[in-house]
Amino acid sequence: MLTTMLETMEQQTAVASQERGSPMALWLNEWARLLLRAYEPGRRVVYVSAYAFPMEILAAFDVVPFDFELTSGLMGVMGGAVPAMEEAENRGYSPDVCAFHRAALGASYLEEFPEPELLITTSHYCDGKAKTNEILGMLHGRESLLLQVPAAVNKESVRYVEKQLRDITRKIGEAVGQSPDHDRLKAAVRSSNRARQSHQVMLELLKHRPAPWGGSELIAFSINGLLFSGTEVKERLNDAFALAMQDRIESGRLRPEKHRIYWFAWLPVYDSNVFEILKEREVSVPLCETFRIHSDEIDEDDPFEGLALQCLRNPFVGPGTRRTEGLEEIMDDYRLEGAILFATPACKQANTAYTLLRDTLARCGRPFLMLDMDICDPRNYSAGQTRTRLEAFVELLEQRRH
Amino acid sequence: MTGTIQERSRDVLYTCSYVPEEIILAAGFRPRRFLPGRPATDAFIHPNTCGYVKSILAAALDHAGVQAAGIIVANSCDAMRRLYDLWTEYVRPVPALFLDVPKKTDADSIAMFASELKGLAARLPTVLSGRAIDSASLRAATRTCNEIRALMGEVFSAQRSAQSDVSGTRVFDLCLAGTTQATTDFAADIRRFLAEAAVERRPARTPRIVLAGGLVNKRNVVAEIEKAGARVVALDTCLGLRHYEGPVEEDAPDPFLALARRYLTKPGCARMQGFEERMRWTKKVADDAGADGIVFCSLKFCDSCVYDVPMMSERFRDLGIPFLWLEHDYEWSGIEQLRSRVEAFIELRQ
Repeated sequence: MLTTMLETMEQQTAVASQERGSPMALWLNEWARLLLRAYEPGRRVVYVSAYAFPMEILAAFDVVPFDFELTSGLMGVMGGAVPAMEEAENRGYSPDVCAFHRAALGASYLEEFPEPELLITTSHYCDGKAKTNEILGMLHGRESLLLQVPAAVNKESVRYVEKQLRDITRKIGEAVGQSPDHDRLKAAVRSSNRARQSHQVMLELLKHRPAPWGGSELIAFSINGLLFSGTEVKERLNDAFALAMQDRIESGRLRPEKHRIYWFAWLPVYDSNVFEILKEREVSVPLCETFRIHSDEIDEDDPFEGLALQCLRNPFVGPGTRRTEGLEEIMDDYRLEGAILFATPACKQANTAYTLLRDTLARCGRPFLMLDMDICDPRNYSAGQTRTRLEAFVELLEQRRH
Repeated sequence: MTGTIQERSRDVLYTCSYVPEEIILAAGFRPRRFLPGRPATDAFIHPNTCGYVKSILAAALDHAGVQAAGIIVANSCDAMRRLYDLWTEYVRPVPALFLDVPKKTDADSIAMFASELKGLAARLPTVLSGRAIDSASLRAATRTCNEIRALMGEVFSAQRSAQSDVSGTRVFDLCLAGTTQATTDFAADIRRFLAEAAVERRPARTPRIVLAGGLVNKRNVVAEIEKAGARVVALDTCLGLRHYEGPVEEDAPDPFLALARRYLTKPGCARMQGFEERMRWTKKVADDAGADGIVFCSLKFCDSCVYDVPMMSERFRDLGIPFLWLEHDYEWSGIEQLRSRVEAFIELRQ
């Protein structure tokens, strides 16, 4: 079922990408093609948490990266996550388990996911991801690896993460029968550095009022786009989105905008009214926390240290205050009037910090909304409740302006 | 809460069995596992957070609820690391120290944890006005904790013995006392317990149950199992067996490395990587105790446990060991419902 959905997605987006030159279509097409490659005979598949693990390392091998969470999200977009979640629930997984993980476990039990050679994840962002990675490893009879990223950034922690990255690189080589290639890793890091530059261009363009892009597309791309880090695809996608934004600004084809807000954490993947309501009320989301840049360019001649630092400086590692560092300045720079924390019920690491986020926003004099909604399970969704909460929040933004 | 106000001001609270009590003792403080009896609060924390974390925060926000020199919060899980954030932001009168604990047990992770422990040992006396920790004080504290571990090993051995009728409830009470008592008082209590347990009795044949899982903070589930006609012959929890299993090497050249090795490689909590090792351990506990079944308790919203349960349940079923999973909310408000499930489970074993 998943491959059929992916084939449809690949065909539809190929047409849209060619006819309209849409960067969204280009991105979704690349994603569908990448996922379909994971099912081709002879392909070496490595499960990886693309938004947390340095993908440049995988880009240096002839492997197909497969992220079980992002794929669960895609299943949610295409309406295929519920049967997978039901399968996991029937096998004893509690509804308290993250919907992405239930979908991934169910899809594996249903043999919808490709066979991996190796599974890699990280200790950040959440406990559930590491648990799921290990369970999937057992289900597929393959080794599962964990990159432990300490909370503190110091000499010891950099050395520790760097050493683990070197060990994981060696293990990937062993699992797929290919020697690590330093030149390819160097090229992948160079590519990431170039993509970082275009990312900075995008961040500048997003300051424009009205916003040339944003909302669900921006949030989704900020997370899922990382699947291509270290490849020319990521560079091409960044360039395409930047060009489209530039074009919208120059041509004046911009959506009306009354309010601008910041977005914390994730977004609902199934069909919901969240961004439709924001659009109706002319509220744009030109920036989300997952699109901010937190690390420096990486030295291509010493990639492991730079990649280790990139992991250690992730705002979801260490104290929750890392998520609020520099926020006041950002709110001013982007002229953001408030913020929403999307709180999927199982996501303790994101939600448990809500008081800190709320109070930081209050100190900046901006309203804050914690939007409780499941990330991938539409069975818990209430359109009416979502509308009531979002409209009340927009009223607050309006009152604040007057 | 035990001891005088003066004594309590020398208490250092900790929230997880991965925090080495040796370091607290070596700094001249009394380690106390923080198990507040306050009802949970949702005002500062997301409702889908475990009751233990919510209860700690509730006690902390009511400043009279925490009388201690400080608290060490380990990076046990997502909720605990956020608890540390909230504590440092909103509970300033009682200083909090953070301890990062790797989820892996390889040599590099042990070395990393040793470095974390050194950092903790350096910060603890400064932040909480304690004694500077040196190798001698750390080794002395290690000997004290090892002595308790050895004594508790005898208690657990008596509990699982087929020739004794030591009840699980009594062992649980002793373990709970160990979370708050001074080490000398606790050692004396254990010796008294062992002296009483040494009298050989011929217990009636009743179903023998292992109580396993994460944090089990109240005796009522143990009491319910025993009231239903079974005997709890092992407590494979973080206040029970897993807290005391295995000594720290006393004469190691680097005492921090020895501590790190013992704490990371002791029988693991569900937070750690290594499902297979946990399965082997719990199976061994059940085999050694000649158990007829396992009751596994976990806190509602404890991700570490909840992800393990389906596979654990399936594996034990395949091994022919009956397995019952109970979820609690730390306050055990649903004990009536749990009682029916416990009774049905025990009845099937009789």
